[in-house]
Amino acid sequence: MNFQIPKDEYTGKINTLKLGKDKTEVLVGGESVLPFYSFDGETSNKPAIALDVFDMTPTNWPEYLLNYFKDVADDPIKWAKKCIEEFGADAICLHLTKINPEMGSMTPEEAGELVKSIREAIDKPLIVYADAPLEIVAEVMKKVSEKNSESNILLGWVEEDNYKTLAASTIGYKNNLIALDPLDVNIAKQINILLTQLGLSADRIAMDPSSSGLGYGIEYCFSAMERLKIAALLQDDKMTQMPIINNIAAEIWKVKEVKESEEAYPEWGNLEERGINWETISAMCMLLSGSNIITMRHPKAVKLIKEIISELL
Amino acid sequence: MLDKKHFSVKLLPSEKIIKVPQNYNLRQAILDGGIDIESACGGVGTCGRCKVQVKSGRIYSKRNKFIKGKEKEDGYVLSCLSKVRSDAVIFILEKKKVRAKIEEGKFEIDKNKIYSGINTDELAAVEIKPWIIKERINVEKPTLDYNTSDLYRLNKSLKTTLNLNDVLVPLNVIKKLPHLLRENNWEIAITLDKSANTMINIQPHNKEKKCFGFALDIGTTTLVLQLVDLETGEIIGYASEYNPQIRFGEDIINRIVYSTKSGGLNRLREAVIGSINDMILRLLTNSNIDEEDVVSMVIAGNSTMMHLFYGVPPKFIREMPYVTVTNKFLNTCVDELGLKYIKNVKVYNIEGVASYLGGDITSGVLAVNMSKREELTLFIDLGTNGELVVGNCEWMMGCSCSAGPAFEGGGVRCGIRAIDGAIEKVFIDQSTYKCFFKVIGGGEPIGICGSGLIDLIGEMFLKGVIDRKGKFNTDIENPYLKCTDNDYRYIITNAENSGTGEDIFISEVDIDNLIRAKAAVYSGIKTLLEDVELKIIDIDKVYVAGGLGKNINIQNAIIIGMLPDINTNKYVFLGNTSVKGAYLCLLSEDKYKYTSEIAKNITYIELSASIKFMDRYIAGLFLPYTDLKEFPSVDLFYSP
Repeated sequence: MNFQIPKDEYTGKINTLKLGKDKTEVLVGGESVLPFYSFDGETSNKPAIALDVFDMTPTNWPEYLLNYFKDVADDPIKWAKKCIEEFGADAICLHLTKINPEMGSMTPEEAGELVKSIREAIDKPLIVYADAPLEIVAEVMKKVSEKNSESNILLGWVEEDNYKTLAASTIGYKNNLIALDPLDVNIAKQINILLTQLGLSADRIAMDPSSSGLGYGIEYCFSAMERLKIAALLQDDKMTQMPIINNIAAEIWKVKEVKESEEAYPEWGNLEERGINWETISAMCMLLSGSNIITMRHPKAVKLIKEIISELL
Repeated sequence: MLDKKHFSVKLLPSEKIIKVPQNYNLRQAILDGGIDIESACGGVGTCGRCKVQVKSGRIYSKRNKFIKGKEKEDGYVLSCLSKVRSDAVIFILEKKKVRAKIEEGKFEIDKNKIYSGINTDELAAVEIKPWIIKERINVEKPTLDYNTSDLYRLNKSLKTTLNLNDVLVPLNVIKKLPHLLRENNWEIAITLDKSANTMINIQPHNKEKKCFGFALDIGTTTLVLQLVDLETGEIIGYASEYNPQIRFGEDIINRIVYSTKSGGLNRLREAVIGSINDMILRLLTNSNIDEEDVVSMVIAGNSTMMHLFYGVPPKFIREMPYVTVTNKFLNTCVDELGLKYIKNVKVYNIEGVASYLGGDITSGVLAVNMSKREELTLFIDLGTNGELVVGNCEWMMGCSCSAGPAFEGGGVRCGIRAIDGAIEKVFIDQSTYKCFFKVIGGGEPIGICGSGLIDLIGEMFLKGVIDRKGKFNTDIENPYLKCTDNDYRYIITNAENSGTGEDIFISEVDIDNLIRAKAAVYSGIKTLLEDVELKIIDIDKVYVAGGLGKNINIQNAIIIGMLPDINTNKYVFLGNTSVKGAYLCLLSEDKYKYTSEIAKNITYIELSASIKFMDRYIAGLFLPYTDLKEFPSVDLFYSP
């Protein structure tokens, strides 16, 4: 008798989220097995690597990282193009920082126009995160959605306290929405229930479980995401079947392990290598626990991750 | 210390003046002045309720998040964070909460229906077999030929007439003996504790043979006292009052924290003893019963309340690994405890199980009789600390889930206990969002009690006034939703139609507190049942106890996700089972002894160490529950 590889039974399936439209369209999610369990069934769309782009030159990036983008860092359009053309980004994650009154004076109107101009200039889908307080996020994102209607951009973010206004405009302008939860399966479900009850289609939602980087509680994120995927796939829990986005680059690139010099910590080894490894391992952890979209920054880490993904899938 | 400066603080509107040393805490000064000032946090600056206005004088106050802008300019401070630095005049805002009235009344004993709505089949049968007895006795007169001691002759009579050997006669009785015997021609009435074989009191023989006892429930939020005729079992009088310790903190944890402060333990003890004394006096006066005829008192209360009542430090109940000093206190005499108006009364307490499963629950288990039944029973006591016991005659397991005082009216601005004037039932009209309600005792409402709050949350949720998260739906045209200072309130009835002259309303903060409470209860039920590998459908009967008001609508309790979604026929609501158990013990020595057996037979599970409990609690912060599959029947009523 031949040996038969035992297969797990899955009852649920992750929703397929459409990012972008027509020539820029990228699909994420859609799998009916746990991450990379290709031996069990359909792994469907590959995870998407979204490269970070900012609306102003970042001031807190380590120099060795910023060096790759120095020539384009003051122009988000050029920056986005470089990420796609040179570094193989599957998507662009634009961070709006100047909308935060502490950082700049960009109006919601201007933010909407900026997003539009980038979207029109690139051939990959766009994810937009607002790095600002809750009240401002909803205002800005409403405008961004309005100016970029029916383009399937992914808008970040809503949580329990601000979901109503932004969800309504996302429905109206036919875009996608990121639901943020504080690393809690129940709260993630609760926001999804609230959003879908308002009429936002479940396949227009991505979940951001507020991940953290290696060494800063990544194992906690791992198990929270694992629980979400198990509920979605094995228990067919519809309210956990949204693809997961991990905005993890911001978490990785602020820790001392990617910033402290070799002189200060000789035993830690070469700084840039350390940074690349830190980002690669963090990203891989997220992917293994079920990430469908992940934000990254260092081109070499991106290359490594893309290689690993294509070898595994 | 001697030359430390003292200042006088004038408290408005009462105009009371108190002297305090420099840097004295202002909130403490107000409490010293005999004024109840609201404080849920026990005076650590986290609840923002002890706000007062400084009219004049130098008051040093720490910065806090509750007072800013105009209020700060107007001299408002949080009294708990303030120190007195000069003579001062302080204005204390009028208390929003209506002070509860004492309820009084006579209860008729009905053979079949001893307790409101519950027949004897469902409760432990009342079997009157008191162990404190009163008997008349003749003592032989001494003569020159028969010159034994008074006590010897008393003991001899006890043996010959009552067949009692070696009765212990304490000094306080012996002191009265010589004169009483001679003044009453050698015939006296004795009060005897049969179980301890101890004489409690002696009185003139012409006194009536009647004797009475008190059953007392010391709850975190509510005190209940019953005056009982020990011969007939008749409840002569009944009184209930808020636990005055509330002003030192609304829940157990805050009370324990307060008890660790200097003089805190004694203040807490004196507060509760004072209120019990008031209730005793009132009941005795109203019923015309001679204090000498009261012979015993049985107390049930949670472990912290018992520690505070006896003046024993409860500090370690709160600290890992959460242990009590004792679960059973020695039976003592009232005089030692500071109880007034009754003398020579023995005070008995019902044994508790663990730190967070006290004698009130043992008492409740006795009252619902679950330890004698074969059917699988779940007993839920919805007090400030929700407690649960599951099991039957073969085994019992219990746990506690801190629900907070919301269902007893605490932590909810217009919440009150189930007393006359409390809204007990609520209905909301779908088209106009107007709230209709029923008030206990008729008349104008003065607040809303637990059963009313459960109805209200359920109705608001079903009618779309709030969303699943308990937030007001501001997109609908709801004329009863008012917004002041970014604080939304749903008006149940306006000031003109309320008994308090103010709006009766519910705010988002109130709803939040209620949702937390119901989440804790449901999470506790789920975790307890799972620990014993039972499903909720395996339960034959669910007994719900607590001071929520007897007209609790079980269906609405299910709709808000507080109680499991099973056939409502399985539920029985019982009211305060703690005092019922104490009442039973008062009447029967066997039952009193049996409570210690119950306490030892309940296995306690500590939920504060349970990750699952916390996880389900978060899942419970949603209406009805995050996993909607657990509440299939709610869908029948709900269409968003």
